[in-house]
Amino acid sequence: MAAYKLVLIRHGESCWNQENRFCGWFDADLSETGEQEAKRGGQALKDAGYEFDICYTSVLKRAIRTLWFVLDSIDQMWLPVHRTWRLNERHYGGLTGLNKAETAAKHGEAQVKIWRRSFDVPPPSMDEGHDFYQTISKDRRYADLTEDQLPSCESLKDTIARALPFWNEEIVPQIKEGKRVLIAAHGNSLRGIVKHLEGMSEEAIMELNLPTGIPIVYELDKNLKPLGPMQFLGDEETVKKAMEAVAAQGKVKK
Amino acid sequence: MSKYKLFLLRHGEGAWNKENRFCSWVDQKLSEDGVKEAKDCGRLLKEQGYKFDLVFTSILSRSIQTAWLVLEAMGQEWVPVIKSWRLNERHYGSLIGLNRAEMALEHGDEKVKLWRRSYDITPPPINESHPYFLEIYNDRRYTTCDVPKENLPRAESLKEVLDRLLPYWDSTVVPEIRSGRTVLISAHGNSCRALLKHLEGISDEDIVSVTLPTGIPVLLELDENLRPVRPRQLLGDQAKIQAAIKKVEDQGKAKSST
Repeated sequence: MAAYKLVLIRHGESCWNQENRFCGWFDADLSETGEQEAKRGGQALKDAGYEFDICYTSVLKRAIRTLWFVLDSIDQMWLPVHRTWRLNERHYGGLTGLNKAETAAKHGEAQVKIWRRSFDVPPPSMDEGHDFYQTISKDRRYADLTEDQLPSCESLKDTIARALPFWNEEIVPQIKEGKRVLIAAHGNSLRGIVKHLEGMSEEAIMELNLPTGIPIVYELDKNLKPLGPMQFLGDEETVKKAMEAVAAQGKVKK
Repeated sequence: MSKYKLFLLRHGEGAWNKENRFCSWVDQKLSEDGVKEAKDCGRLLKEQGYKFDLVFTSILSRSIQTAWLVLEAMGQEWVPVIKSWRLNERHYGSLIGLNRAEMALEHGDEKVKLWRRSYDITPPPINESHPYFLEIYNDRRYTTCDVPKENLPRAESLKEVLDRLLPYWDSTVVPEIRSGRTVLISAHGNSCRALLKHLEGISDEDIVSVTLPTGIPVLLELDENLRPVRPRQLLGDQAKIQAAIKKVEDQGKAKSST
């Protein structure tokens, strides 16, 4: 019998996803597709009758708006919502704004492969000359971050290292108090939580791409250990596709 | 000298506003027009370059939805939003769901006038036989308030709205303003009026004739004692503001607006 249930949702397509650009901390909005994904995710939670007590999200609009669509669908707009930079997407540093082709052209295929395959090698820093330095690093929402906290780039390891303290210090106590938690965030910040929950290796977490816009449910024991693999919520076909996509990932050689 | 800026916003049209029914604690979302009002408000605030640090709303969806739409239009979705029942619309007791004609029929014109005109006369309480009783009191959100559910109001005068709003204002909102944060309060006609009465020192008699138009941001510039240094400003295009004021006044003629 599960002591607790946790629901995660990864936001859907953003306008930059459409253009295949490294987004990271750039505050791209959801595309229309991404909005539909969020609404469908909300509908799935509504159909399954989910109730929550508290919600967490990042300070990036694509995650916040996803949460808003969900809360609207399940008629729980009144729930307390906590926003934190610690649940932000991974910071892609100097790669922010570049698309796949530009990145390969600028840095070479070999280097790109290293960044993609590495757990702890960060991309180049976003320096003051970068197109997005002002809009990101100097954004008012990060005014309270110390110099050490504000990243100029992150490896996946770095992302997880700044996400987990929030999980441990803020979210876990709420779960243990019996609060039903919903987290709407990004691929890499959610990877941090999943890696931690399931005790996954660095290699394994890098192979895992969480499906977007689909509520991911964990049943946890009283020590917050998952009782089984993550479950997906939605209509039969959506769930089947998501499960197959996740299963296939481990087999693909990059 | 103006030290702090505070913004109040009365949400726009909900489905029942169109029918001139007292919505009160029934949880309705904005109508299409109400959504537009909120978006327009956000666009205006963005154009004028305002930056919020914190938003307070009630726990009724229409005020939250308004806040979200405003923040979205301003690109400030990341700003924290704090919700409390103490900013809820006035509880209209057994009058909830009735429109003006129904009210006059049921209670007589004199009584209705009294509930409209007075500051401190409470309408009859809602009870279990009321069609909307369960919809309100079975709602889970009312188990999360800082008072036990059985102590929540069953009806309120405007005075009683201020009585439950003021402690929240003092303990939770004021410290944020004093720490220099620019605050937006996205709430309802009567919770906004109650707060204005307090901030501007409006008398019990004069408050009766004060109504805020919907969807128009109200800017209060306050000194270090949180007293207004100048009259409240309704922001935006003057023609639009006049139209909004007229709309609310016309509703007041067709129904009891308070």
